[in-house]
Amino acid sequence: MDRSIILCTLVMSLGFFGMATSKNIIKSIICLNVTQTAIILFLLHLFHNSDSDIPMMPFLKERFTDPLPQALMITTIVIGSAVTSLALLMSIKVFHYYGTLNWSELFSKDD
Amino acid sequence: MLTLMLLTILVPFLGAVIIYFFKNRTLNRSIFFIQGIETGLVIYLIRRFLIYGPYHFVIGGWQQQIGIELGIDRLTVLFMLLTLILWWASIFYMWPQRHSDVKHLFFMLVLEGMFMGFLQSRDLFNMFLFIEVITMISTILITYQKNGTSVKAGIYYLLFNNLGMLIFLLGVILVYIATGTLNMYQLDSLMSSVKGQSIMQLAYVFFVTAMGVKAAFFPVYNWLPTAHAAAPSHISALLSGLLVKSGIYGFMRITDMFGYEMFNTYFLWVGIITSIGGVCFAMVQKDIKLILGYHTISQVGLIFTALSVPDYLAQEAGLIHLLNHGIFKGLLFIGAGITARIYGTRSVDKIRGVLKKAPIISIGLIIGSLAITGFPLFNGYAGKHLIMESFKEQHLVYWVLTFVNLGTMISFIKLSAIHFGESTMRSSPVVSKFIKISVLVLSLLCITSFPFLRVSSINQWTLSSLAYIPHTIMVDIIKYFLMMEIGYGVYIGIIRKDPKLIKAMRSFNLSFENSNLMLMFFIFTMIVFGTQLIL
Repeated sequence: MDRSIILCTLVMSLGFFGMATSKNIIKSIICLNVTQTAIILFLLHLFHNSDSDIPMMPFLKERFTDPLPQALMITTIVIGSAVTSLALLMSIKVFHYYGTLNWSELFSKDD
Repeated sequence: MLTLMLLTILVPFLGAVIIYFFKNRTLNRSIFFIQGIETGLVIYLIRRFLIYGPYHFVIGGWQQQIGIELGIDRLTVLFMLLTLILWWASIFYMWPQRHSDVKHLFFMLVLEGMFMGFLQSRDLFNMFLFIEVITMISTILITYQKNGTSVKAGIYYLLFNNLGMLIFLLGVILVYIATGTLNMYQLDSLMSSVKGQSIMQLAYVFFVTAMGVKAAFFPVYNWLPTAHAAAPSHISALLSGLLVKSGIYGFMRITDMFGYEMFNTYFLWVGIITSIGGVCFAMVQKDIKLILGYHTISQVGLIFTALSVPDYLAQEAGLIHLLNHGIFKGLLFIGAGITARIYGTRSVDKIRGVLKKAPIISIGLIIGSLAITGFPLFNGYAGKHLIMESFKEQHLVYWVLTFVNLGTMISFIKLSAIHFGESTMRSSPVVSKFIKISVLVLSLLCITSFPFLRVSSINQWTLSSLAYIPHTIMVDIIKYFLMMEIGYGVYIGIIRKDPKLIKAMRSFNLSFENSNLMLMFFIFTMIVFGTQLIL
């Protein structure tokens, strides 16, 4: 198997592992981003080909890569950035209300 | 026709922008106008569907493979009707309190447009995008009360659901690698040639997991009760009636497309465990909205149990119960919300005498309770009876479902205590006319068994207003009262004494890390189950 695919899978598992173990909200958000980046790299790598050109108008080489994965992934990046900014904003609010960003401390506190 | 389909997505969106831009109190009333246009559009689309059958178009005349496709079929039509009804009800509910709150109106309308888009999209990636946007907007609406609890619930909901959707994205990528297309119609025709590949099976596992997170199946349920309890009541009604169902909707579409039958036993048990777990936690709660939230989990489990059986009757039963559940759960949440607002508390022990203080709300709540416990002639009965009927041969499942029904009754007996007794409040509350209208309309729909699908003739459905009446109705009524007696006994004997076990169960809460761990566990068990069958 390709070495990069294994690398992507490892990074993805690292992200999932981080989601399942991190005790801090900021760490969880970072792990979510790591997972997402790994997924994006996974698809982009699979359709990458150094022999072919980018799908843009003057074509210098004979073949060009499949443009659809790139279009999909740029949309995913946009969505991901929106989610990250919303999550960070809410973590500020959480800190403002409770004075902590620790998941277990947060849920043990009553209001 | 394509323009009209696009307009169902864009009209609420444009309306939202106009309302937000002008920030004018009189202009805010146009939300009813926008909602009216939306209703007209949907009714026109449904009429065309009834005459010509299902149809679909690609936006901009591109090829199917790269274009964005929108389609209308029976499932979409039914969900669109449910969407419209619940949105009307929640707009009426929120109007007296928030009619000058421009931001709230903006998010409500955008959410409606996005949900319509989700229902019509026939493309896996667009489905992913719409669900992501729906998740984000509903997070904002959950945290709308701007207090600590709601922000806490909101961030839990956002991060956990996003992890689920990343798993969905992984599935989308695997499908693209295996087939080179994401269009559902193309995938449908391609499926027979790629069905055997293990990459497709892995993609299916990922899709089902992601949809399981949205629909709150048992190991990954924990975001739901906290989010429902923290949200404003009309948002809880929307979440519980519709947004939770988006998971079931996606599951039905994807299972339809893939057509794998090997996971059916697994799904059956996931559904059963979900319904038992939900009902057990619901019985011990004391917060009125938490009780309803846990009941959503149990009812979704019931629906999922029915959908896991590859049999026409069971599938229809699941669909009927899904639609009816949307209606009566919306009614219950709206009723509970207004009760909690009148009394200033959500504890079942402290609220007393609703029947005297706010008779219409109380009657609405009673109708909702009768519907959810499956009293004959109310709409919950049709789905429940048909689901039980389809499991008549499997005795174990039948008895488990009877137990779930008993548990539902016990917790609604507990809830019904709020209607009677003497209230400690002196002033008589004023319930706005708008709220009364929304409660009345929803209770009317509960009695008349909203869109009942005729089971006898395949591919036909009707907006028949008569409730479902089988010939065993007398037996069912006797059974209902018998179970009510047993439930009352259990409630007096065990639940009301509040032993230690029940206290422990009430304070049980799955932490965020453990929820994620459970998500991994859910994927892992499904993969193990799948490979075991292949080997």
